[in-house]
Amino acid sequence: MSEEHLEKLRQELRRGVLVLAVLGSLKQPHYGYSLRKQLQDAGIDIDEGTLYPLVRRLADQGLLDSEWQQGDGRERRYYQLSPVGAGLLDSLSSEWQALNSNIAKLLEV
Amino acid sequence: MSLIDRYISAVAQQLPASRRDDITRELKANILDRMEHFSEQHGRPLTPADESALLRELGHPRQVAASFLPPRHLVSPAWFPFFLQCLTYGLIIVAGVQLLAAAVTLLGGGNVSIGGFIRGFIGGWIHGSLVMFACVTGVFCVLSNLAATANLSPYCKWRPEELPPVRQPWQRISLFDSTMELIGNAFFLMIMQYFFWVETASVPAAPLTVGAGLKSWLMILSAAAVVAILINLWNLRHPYWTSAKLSLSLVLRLILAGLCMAVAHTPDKIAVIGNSQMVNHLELINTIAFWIFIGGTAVNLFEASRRAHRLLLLRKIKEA
Repeated sequence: MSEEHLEKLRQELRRGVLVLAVLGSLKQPHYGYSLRKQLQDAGIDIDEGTLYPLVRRLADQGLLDSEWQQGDGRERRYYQLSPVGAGLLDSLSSEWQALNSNIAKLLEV
Repeated sequence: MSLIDRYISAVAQQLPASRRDDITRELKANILDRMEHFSEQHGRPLTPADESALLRELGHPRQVAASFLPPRHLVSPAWFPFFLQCLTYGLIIVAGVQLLAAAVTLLGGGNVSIGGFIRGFIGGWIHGSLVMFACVTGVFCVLSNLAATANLSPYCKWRPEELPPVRQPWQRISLFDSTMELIGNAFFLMIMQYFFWVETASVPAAPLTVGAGLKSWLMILSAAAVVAILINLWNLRHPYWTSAKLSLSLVLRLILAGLCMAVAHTPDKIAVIGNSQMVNHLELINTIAFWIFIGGTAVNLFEASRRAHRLLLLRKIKEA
């Protein structure tokens, strides 16, 4: 299998859990770039072209609250999990744990 | 105007007015954060080349703007298989219509040559196909982008019982084969009827006409063509071979082979109109006509043998 093919499959595998990763990161307020840094530090490298539209979509769906704040002489839009988003994160987390343990069983075979 | 402002302006141009300010305001803040971080990392202010490289990394303004909007399709994945099916049918229908239209032009008189007929058919087919493609794509674009049309797809109402009882790949009759045969049969039926009814009919670009010998066969050949057309239509509706269809097709092919053989041995197949130079070549022309009908006999016998072979295969499958 080529490196390119492997990378494609890896991206596909990670794409499904990006929402979970973003919601999990936004228990604390973050602006776009700091959120990206937090995900990178956790080992989830996501390009800006994917992350920023995804965050806006989640905000449009009412899963995130957002507000503009001044800081370091510049304005930034901060995002944080909304009560609806927090509920969804709990459900998705349980789903993720169950899926993870089921896949782990399959991989052990 | 800075490079960032030019970039933001280009993105803004691609966004709907209702969301433009909000998205570009946030995008600019994110870009400035990114540049600030770059500056800290490298311990120096950004050069214009660095700015350019960072913006290039973000993506083309059109792509960036599109990523903030709901995905749009000219034809959605749900409709795409049906779209392709309609295009295929469209191409075949246009080919059929153009062939018949070119034949009408050819037989309608004027100074149309065989070459003109072929050019007229190909030109008309290309033009008609482009118009058909635009119309079909336009219709599917509307269907794909209206939520209310989601249940209109024929793939929503299919039933497993309607699937053809096909066990072998050869049992499937391709759409292309059926339609080409249908168009060919319709074309020949038209030609035969034209020469039967029009007294002074001649072959374009040559003072030739159907001789008395061949003319006596035209109605029988036309009847066979009508039966063949009906079978073609049946094949389009149910595109797979069954024992009944193979039997009927086998009989028709044998009849056609017999007819071609009988016509081949009929004298006076082609005649010359007026005192033409063609009289000197009439024997050669009739010999060519003889071999054309012998060829027709061979083709029909070959097709009949294929159907007989498939009929045996189908019986073996049923017995197994």
